[in-house]
Amino acid sequence: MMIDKNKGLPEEILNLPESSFEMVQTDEIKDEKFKTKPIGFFKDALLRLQHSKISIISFWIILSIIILALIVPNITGFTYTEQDLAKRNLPPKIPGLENIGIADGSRVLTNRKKDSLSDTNRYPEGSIIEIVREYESKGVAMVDVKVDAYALAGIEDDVYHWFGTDYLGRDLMTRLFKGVRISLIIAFFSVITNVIIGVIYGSICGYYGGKVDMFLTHFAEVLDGMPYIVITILFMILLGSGMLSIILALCITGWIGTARLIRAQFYRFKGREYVLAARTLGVPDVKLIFRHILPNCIGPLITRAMIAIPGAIFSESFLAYIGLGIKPPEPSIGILLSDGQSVLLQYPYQTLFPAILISVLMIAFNLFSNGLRDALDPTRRGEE
Amino acid sequence: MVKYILKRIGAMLLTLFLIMTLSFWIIRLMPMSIFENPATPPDIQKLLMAEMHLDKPLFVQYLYFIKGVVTEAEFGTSVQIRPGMDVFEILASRIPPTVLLNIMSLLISIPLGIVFGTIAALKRNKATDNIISFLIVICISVPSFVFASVLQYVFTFKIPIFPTLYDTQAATFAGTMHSLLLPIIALALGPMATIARYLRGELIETLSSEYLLLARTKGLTRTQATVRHAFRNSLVPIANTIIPLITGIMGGSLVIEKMFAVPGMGGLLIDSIMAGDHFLTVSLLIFYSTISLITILIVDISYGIIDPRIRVGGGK
Amino acid sequence: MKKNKLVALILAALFVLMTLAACAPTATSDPTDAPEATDAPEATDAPDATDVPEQSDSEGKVYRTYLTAEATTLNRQDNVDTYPDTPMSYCSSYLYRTYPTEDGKGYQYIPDLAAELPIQMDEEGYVWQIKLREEACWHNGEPINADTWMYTFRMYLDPILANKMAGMFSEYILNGYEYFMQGTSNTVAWEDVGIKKIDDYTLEITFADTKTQFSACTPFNGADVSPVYEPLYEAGMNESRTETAYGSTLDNWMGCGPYYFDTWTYNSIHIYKKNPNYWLADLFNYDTVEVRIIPEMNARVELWEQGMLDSLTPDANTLEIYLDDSRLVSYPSLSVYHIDINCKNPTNPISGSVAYRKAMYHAIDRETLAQYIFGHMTPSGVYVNELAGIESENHETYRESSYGKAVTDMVESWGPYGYSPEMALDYLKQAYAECNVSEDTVITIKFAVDETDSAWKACAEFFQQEFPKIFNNMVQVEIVTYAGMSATDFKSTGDDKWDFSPNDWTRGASRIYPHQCFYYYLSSYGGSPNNYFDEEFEAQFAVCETPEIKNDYEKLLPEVQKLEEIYLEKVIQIPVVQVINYELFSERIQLPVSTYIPGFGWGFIYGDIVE
Repeated sequence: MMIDKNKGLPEEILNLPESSFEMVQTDEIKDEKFKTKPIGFFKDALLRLQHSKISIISFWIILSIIILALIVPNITGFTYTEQDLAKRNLPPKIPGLENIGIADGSRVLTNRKKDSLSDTNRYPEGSIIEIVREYESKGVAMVDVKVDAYALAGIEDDVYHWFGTDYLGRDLMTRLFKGVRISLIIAFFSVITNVIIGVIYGSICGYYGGKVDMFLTHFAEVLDGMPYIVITILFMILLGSGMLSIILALCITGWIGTARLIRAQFYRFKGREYVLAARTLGVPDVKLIFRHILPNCIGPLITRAMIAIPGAIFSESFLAYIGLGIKPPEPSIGILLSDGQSVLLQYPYQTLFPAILISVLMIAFNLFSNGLRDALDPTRRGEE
Repeated sequence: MVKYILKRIGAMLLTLFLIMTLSFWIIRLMPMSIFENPATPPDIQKLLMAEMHLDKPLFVQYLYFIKGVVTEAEFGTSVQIRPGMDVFEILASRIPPTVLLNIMSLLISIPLGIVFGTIAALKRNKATDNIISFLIVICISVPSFVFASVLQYVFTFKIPIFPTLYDTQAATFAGTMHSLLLPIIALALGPMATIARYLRGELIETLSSEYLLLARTKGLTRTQATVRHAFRNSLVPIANTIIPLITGIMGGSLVIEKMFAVPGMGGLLIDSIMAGDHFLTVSLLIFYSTISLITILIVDISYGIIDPRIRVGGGK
Repeated sequence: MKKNKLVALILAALFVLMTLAACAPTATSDPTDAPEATDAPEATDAPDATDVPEQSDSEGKVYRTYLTAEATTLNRQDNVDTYPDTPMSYCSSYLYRTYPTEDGKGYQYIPDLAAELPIQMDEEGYVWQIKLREEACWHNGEPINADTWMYTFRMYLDPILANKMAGMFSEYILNGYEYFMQGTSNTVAWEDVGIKKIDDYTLEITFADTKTQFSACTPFNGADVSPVYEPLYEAGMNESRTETAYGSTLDNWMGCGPYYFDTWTYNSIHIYKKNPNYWLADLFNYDTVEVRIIPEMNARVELWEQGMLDSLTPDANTLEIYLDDSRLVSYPSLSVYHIDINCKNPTNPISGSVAYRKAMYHAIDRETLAQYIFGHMTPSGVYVNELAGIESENHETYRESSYGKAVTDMVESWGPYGYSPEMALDYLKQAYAECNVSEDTVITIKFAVDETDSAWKACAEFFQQEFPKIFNNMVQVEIVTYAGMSATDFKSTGDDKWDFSPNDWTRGASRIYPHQCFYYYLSSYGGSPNNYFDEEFEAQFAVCETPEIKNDYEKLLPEVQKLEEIYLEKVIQIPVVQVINYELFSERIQLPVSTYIPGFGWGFIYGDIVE
């Protein structure tokens, strides 16, 4: 049978000249083109993050604490190791605030003999502000007296220790922000190490499955079954104090969560059609893992790492608190907290500032990672 | 079902065995001597070592240890913390205060967490929610030992309405609780906030689901619908958060027990590690691990009962 | 389905709680230990309750004190900690107890479990008889007689049991040390040891040295020589008789003292109740003694402030608050804090040089350390403590004697308490020259300190700033911390791990023999904290130990001076501060003495409560 080339149309219609055609609609097409650029996953997440006020605030808090940690130790005029035993345990004194009675470098000395107040060797002129309480004990006149601790220690008027000084007369503000720096470094490095180990471990488990998975998962389970704080303490004892040992100790069990997360993600994605397609095309395992499957896990991974940072800061301060810290004279938030704790009754401000700072830092990190989790949640794409 | 439970128990025992092995090796490889007394004649020292099999290679010691644990539930004898006392007996004397402390703080934190989480979810994005959410974050963020020292400073030193230390001699349970309240609160805040946060998230998700809409159209009030339908469904995953909570509380109580002089496990663990009392440390590790494994097992099994689909996947 | 979930959830929660709770009862019923004391009624229900009416209605006089750590065991024979001494002193007893003299300025021995002071049996004073108190009995009413004591001493010195405290005691007794140290060799029989039973209420002791009536009492005063209760001691014994669990709990311990050990809540509180049937009951005034275990300093201060403690030992920071307080008293201690130096550190090229040790000796600003870091203690450039010699026959301490003063004067001539940056630098340069180290080498001194020791850590941080200044940056300090092990253990991990190791404990310090504090720095002592030994020093120590010098204080003093001079010449270790003890007493407590009596203390146990 012959094929009708012209589909049954008459010859003259097929050969119509172009000039005989005319546009029906001459103005523009109503169906507009997208003016905006297409929004990718991360851009969308960023947009959502920007709409969350709390996340933004906490982001700025974190950033400013980091900046303070970088700047403050260099501009206070003191170094974090500079000691002066004559001016140890000074209370806070802040220019400006001192005039309204807060942080004016005064403190109350209790249980002093009244007649000793006139002894200018002990109380230089101008150091006594007022007598708070007078009483008698075993026939001796006693007083609680408010003194200018700076004058008492014989320091010039223009010296200010904003957060006071510690048991060796070191400036606490310098030490605190230096300590923040160290705590953050410990937190970042331990989290990064944990993520790397976790990703590799989890990928292997999740990608290969079967016996490999069973063995590796069980091993992780065993490690996880042991109380992590005990393991960390034991490793700290084994490794000795120091920044590196803390980071290592925090890595002993810290990676398990990440590994578990990655493994679960792999199980979800490794059966997808596009992965099968890539596999049939002969893409090697390593490329499959890192190029095709792992990118799916980045969202939860970032969230997890973010949540792990305050956890690491906490663990570090916990270790320091029970006496397993970094090497002196380096400070860390935990070291300052535990030093402060031992003089809580005498010099409460030495605990106050590190406690406030660690709390603010932890709150900011938690709020920010909350926001990040919401923003990176794929089910909420496009939500405002 | 029975088969599933047996399988889980089997897996747990295997894990426990491996943990035991790992604990033994980690601790015994520490550079500490058990008998440190230069005044003891060397041959007596050897005799003492032989008595505890310390003169043999580590692997043989390990076999003795495993044999003792498996056949006679014999964990060894303490040498430093309470010389001559059976390790098991020491644990027995220390467990009650710790358990009391931990259970009380769980008993406080779980209901309170549920209440706050529910309120926050119901008042979503309103002032109440914002305040609760903020408090939740504070409670999660601030380390429990910071809470504890603030509480101790304020309520026992500045405003002395609570005793400074745990009172083991209190005549009544109320008296005991009075002295234990501050550590309980310090320990309970974190878990409470964790539960509240989790529940809030779960509830918000359920509240926007279709079946709840149906319940509302049936004529139930918002509260009725929430309590009867949404609430139950959201409670189930909470069980999952309880595992880390229990282990978390145990970690937190290490320091807090010491601060309030609670004669529990926390201080014992740190002391025994620091004193190099190996047998005791190993047993403590095993004890803590057993607790967390049992918790995992229970949650796993209860999941299996609730949702047979999970059983197939084996808990992961 | 939903109901199922809830039920399951509740079940799960219950299960968790139950397993947690179940641990307690199952564990306590464990039968491994706790011997059944069938023949011994419980210590606590022993009083006949005929003459104790006040026990029921009111608590009476309660003395409230604390311990910083719990007693690990009540078997003081095998425990070197001092924590058990508190319960032992109240609830157990000795042959002779110390008691202040009439004038309240000194102390004497009074017979307690003994009936009278020792009776001299030979001319030289080697052999003494001790008459035992016939009414003495355990808290369960069983008598304490010569057999009890023979068993106690035999077990105490048993070579296989190897009790940790026995070394010291064994040296008092003829052949005691030989018997105790023989190990498994069976060369010395128990019959050769100088402790004999004469009759049911008489013991005969043959000492290794001659004794006076006073010094014959000394070995028998102390918690370690309290009698042990045979049935429980035997019941706690392990199969190979290398250890006994005696004293690990109240169930396997028996008291015999002025107080019953009423309650022992481990790591929390001890409660002692007065034993009205006690033969010396008149000496004791408190009806109840409460001892809390409070590890945290802050908690102790809080309780003290609330009036819930009758005494408090303030630490350096707490001391600041109470400096002027009329309730504060101070008295010197037997301890001199010091720093051991490693002379064999392979990573420190000058560690073997004596000039290096001298440089370190002179580089320590003891005044600053004593005042600020250790808190109002006395700086000390010498090692023999302020109390050494106070119990010698003429009651003059070595430090106050012209010989001791000569040494302190020499130290002062170098600088305040030996501190002299110039000399330090000179000696360091000399050490560099001796060891052929070029002057631009920087020496790093590893200061090994326990993690939890905040005072020494602060001290190390202070050196970290000071040493580079003193030594023109030729020396720097690295702080090495360790945890979970003793200093000895840490040092044994390697000679390259440490240069300085602080030491709080003046071991073997004696109130009679000034030279004895050096005993632990001899090569003959196996557990020496130091690895530097000097022949001249050891020879001089041996001179001090010869009986005719040791027992004649006038002859001993110049020899000790020589010894201390050698010690300083070679810098065996570096003395830092003489410890001063501080103590706060509440106003309601009345002590039996007006001043601190060395060797006796404040006599809390004989105190009274005056409201």
